[in-house]
Amino acid sequence: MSDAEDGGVDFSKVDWDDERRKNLIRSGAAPKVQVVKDLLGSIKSHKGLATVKKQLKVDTKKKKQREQTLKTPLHSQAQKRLGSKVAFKEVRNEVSAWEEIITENRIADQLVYPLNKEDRDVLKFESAVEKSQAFRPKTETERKMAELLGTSKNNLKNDEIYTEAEKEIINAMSVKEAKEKLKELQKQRRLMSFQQEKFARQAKIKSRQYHRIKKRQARKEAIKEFEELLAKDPEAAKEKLLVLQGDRAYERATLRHRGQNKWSKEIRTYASRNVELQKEMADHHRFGRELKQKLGNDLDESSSDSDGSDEDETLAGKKKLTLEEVMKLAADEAAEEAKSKQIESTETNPWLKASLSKLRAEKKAKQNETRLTEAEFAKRGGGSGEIDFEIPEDDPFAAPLEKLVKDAERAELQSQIETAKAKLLEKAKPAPVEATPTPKTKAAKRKAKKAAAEAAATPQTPKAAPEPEVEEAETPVPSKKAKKGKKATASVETSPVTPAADLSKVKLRDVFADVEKTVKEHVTTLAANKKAKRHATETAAEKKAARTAEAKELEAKAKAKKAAAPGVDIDLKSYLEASSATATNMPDNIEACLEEAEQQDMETDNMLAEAFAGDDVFQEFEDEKQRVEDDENPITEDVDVHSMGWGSWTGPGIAEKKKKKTIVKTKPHRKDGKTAHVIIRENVDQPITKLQPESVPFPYTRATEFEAVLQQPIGRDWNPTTYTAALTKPEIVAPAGRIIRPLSKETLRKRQNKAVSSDEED
Amino acid sequence: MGKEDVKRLRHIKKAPKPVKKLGKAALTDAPTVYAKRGQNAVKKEIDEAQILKNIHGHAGDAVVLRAKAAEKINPNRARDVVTKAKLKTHKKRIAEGIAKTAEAELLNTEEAGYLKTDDGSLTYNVKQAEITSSIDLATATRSFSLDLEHGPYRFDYGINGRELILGGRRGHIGVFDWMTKDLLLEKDLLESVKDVSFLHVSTLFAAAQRRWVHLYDEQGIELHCMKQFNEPKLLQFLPRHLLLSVATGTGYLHYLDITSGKIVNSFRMKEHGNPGAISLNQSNGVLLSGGHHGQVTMWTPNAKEPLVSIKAHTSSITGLTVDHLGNYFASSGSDGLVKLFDIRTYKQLSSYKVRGRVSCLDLSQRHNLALGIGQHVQVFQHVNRTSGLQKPYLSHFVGGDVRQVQFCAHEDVLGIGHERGFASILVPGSGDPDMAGLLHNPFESKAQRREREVKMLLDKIQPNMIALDPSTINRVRKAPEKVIDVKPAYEPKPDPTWALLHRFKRR
Repeated sequence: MSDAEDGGVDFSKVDWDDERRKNLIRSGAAPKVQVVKDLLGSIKSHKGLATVKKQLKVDTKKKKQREQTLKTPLHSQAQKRLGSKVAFKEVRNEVSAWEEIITENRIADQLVYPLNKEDRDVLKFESAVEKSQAFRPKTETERKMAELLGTSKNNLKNDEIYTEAEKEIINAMSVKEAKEKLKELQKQRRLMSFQQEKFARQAKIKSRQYHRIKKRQARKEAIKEFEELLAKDPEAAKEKLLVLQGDRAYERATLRHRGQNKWSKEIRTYASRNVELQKEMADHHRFGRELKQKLGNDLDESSSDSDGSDEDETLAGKKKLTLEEVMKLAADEAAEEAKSKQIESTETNPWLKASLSKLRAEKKAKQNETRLTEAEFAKRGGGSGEIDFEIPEDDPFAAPLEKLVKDAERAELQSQIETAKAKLLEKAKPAPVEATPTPKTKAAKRKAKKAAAEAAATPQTPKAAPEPEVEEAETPVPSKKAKKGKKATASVETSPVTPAADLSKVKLRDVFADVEKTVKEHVTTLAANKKAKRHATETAAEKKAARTAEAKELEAKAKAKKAAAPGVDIDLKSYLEASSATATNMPDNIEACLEEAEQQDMETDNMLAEAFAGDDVFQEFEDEKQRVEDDENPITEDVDVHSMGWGSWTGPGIAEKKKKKTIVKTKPHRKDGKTAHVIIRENVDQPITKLQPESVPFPYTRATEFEAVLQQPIGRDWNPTTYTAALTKPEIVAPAGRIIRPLSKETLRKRQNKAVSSDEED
Repeated sequence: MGKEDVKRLRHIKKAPKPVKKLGKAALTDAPTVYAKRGQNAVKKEIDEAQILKNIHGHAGDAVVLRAKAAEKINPNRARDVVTKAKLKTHKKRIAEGIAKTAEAELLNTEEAGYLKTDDGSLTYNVKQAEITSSIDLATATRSFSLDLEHGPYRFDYGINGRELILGGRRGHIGVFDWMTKDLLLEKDLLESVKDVSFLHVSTLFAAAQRRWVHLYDEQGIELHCMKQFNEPKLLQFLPRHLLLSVATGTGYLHYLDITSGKIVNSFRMKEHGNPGAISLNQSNGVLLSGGHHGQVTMWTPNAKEPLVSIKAHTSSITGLTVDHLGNYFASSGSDGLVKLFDIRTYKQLSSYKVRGRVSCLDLSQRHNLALGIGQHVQVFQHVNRTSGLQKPYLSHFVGGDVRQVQFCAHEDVLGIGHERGFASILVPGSGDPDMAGLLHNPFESKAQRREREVKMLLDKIQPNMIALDPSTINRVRKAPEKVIDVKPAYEPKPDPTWALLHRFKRR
């Protein structure tokens, strides 16, 4: 531009309006700077101002155009509307940003609160690693410790398997050695586990036999130990014996094994049949009770001082020398013998073995002595007075006495049983001659008896069996009887000739005579019945005719009804009486098989049939159905309420009006409309309908979907368990104690950032 | 048994493995569902519609039904985005579950037994002794008979099929484990016993005695005496609802809630009168009774009128039974007919004329029908499939008038209570071999029994939920259809005397 070249001010770029605005703003306290005036003042020549003039003119023109009167402002309501529109747009933009998250959450299978990760981490437990990392030594000792630990070679770090020291060892050790060591370790561990398992298994064993054997073993071991101790250290042996005795006495005194030994078991089984044994058992119980009473108070104290009770001494002076006593005596002697001796074992001193064997021999001898005395005792018959009865059968301390007593008793029992047997045999001898007829003759007898019974029954009850069709019933009855007779004779022929059979023959002849008689009678009665029936049918026919006339009327009515109700086209009677399969389909032998049953039931059936013969069962049902229908829909059909003369003029000369159409009311469709044999009550109160949902619940929008989903079973009865778990998974999981914050804009921003970044990646 | 008999001795074999409905071929046909895990990730993404379609050919009836129901779910027709998405995921999950259930059917490896003769002769000639001689010992011990003096006997199997209770009319009661024959309780009640029934656990049972109903525990101690139930005749326990129903000789039907001891409802069965037989429809808890007039009527504790009455026979009904799925019922009348009806349509499927009087009958889980005829028992096979009863499958003579027959669930065993005791016979192929272990657990321990007791209490279905169609509870309530009674333009004034009469006419 020329002005610019001249070094003058280029006005073309001045935004006058802006200047003015600036001035306006500055107006007030600020000093007035007349920019235009100053600028105009600086113009010295008029040369080349034509363009400026033009411009100015244009500007002023524009100004004039611009400075028209203001348009009338919008109506306030419209203004508001506009404002709200804008505001709505803004809010919508703001809210729609959330839409994605919300729909996602709504669709989600399961929501676990809190939704954002930071909140979830708040309640997280600090792990040991985190804690150790956060640790800074502060005090003097801590610092020193840290220094020490830091320099130690035995620090195990998380990312390494071995410590430095271990690494050194590994480096120093060969692979072979290491493997061997490992093997050894593994073996040890294995053995340990085996042992553990073994103990666990043994602890669980409940077998009685096992425990018995185990106990016996323990006892044997204890004795052996005791014997060895006897040789080594008699004083200790004495103490040990005291302990053993105490245990045993306690066990006996508590009466733990009452009734479990063989003797008491056996006596129990025999006592029910033997009075003496019963007595013995009663005695035995009494003794037991007494003993228990006696010991009852001081059971807890050491009951080893059995010598204190003087009452028993008189009873059995020798008997009391049981194995315990023998052992005790031996111990005493040994103690005296070896008072001065030092403690030695058989291993160290082989000479001791001799003394041990001597001890054993002594014990045995003493035992034999006692056994003899026990035998004497048993002979005296004082077995019942025996106190020590609750000793288990395998008890080495008291077995011999027990055995002897038992043997004596058993012998007695045996003899008793034998005598009883002999008596029985004597009694039974003459019996079988009478009581054992051959089975076949027995069968024949039974048949004969039956026939006789029938023969007896038939004449007494002539009315009892009126067969429905006489022609049919007449023939089979005698034939049946004949068959039976044949069977009976056949059996007699085949049976071996014995006196008993002869007897039955005589009887059978009588029976046959009876059967003949009854058959004849039966035939005559049947004939009479037939006659009577014919007469009855004649009279009945008249009645029937009358009835059929009625029935026809009714039928006509019913037909009319049916014509009115279009669907019904089944005749109830024919429907009910028809049977798709009949007895003719049955195989022959089934008939034979059922003969008896049939015979029995024919009578009752016929009676029932007669009883109900008069009833019109079908009509009753139809009537009931009609009644139910009427009850449920009490709408009367097509009632013509226009009676003559009402609602119209009448008289000579007046043409008859067309009759108004009657209001046709059709009855509502019934479920049982097409089935004659069914009545379905539709108005019956069904409380289940009250439990139905009234509207389709959220989120379903249509009933069909809702119902289809509901129809799918979710229980374990119909599904695999895993699937049931998947179906019944909770939609929202909100653990207790967690803060559920409202969604923040932060999450939104993060999501957007993520989306952007993922787009960029793509 | 003669020599010839020995020669043609029949064999009862375990069935050769029948082709399972979900065989290997089926697996390959439906690659989407059964594809090996991790083999191909893309394969898993195949849509659920395909899965459901594939089910139809390969799985059992129940699963197919479920698949059909699931197909009705149409997410695209939902009016909401969220609903659409939710339904989509749910449908997929359901389809997967159905596929898994179909797969699990493979685990039902047990097969039903059957009876087959070598020479092709008819099976009803086979005696129990022959059956027991040709099967394993453990099963053979299930065929036994008890000669008892206090008959005729009625009996009941416990829920787990292990315990059996016998009740003789002359007052004898016995509870025992019929598999091991361990006697748990025996008692003389000193008055006539009409019927016995276990309650939800076999440690409790009810006895319908001469005057009242009594409840006893396992030791025979009387717990309750229900004096409200006069002259009880038949007992029926509803295990899912924990209700004891009592039909009395006076024609009343009582429902007792055994959890609370309250009587839910008791009413007179009006014209249906004294029922000859009652039976429970296990699928919906509706009680069926057969009366004098040959009508089978259906009852709930919610209404004093029968929901449905079906004219089944021309004379009184002697026996009535419903199958365990609640699809069929069979009845016998004194008119000598045995009939099979479909409960869903109330249509008669077959009718059969029987020689002799049928005193009782029972349907097994695999639709074998046992009839007690006089002193005999006859069993017919697959009565729902064949057109009527054609020839008996088995026949058995007990030696006393049969009073009750009942199949034991999940066992090939038929119990027979009769005049002279109790008999248990083997009917190969009568029970469902696949056990539902949650309820029917024959190996139930004490702890499990207690657990089940609690669970049954928690799962108890309230009596007001008993209805003909129990799935009505799943439906959204519809407004009852209103029949608009258009009033005539002119209504003649009724004569007052006639109006009164009209009112009384209804009663």
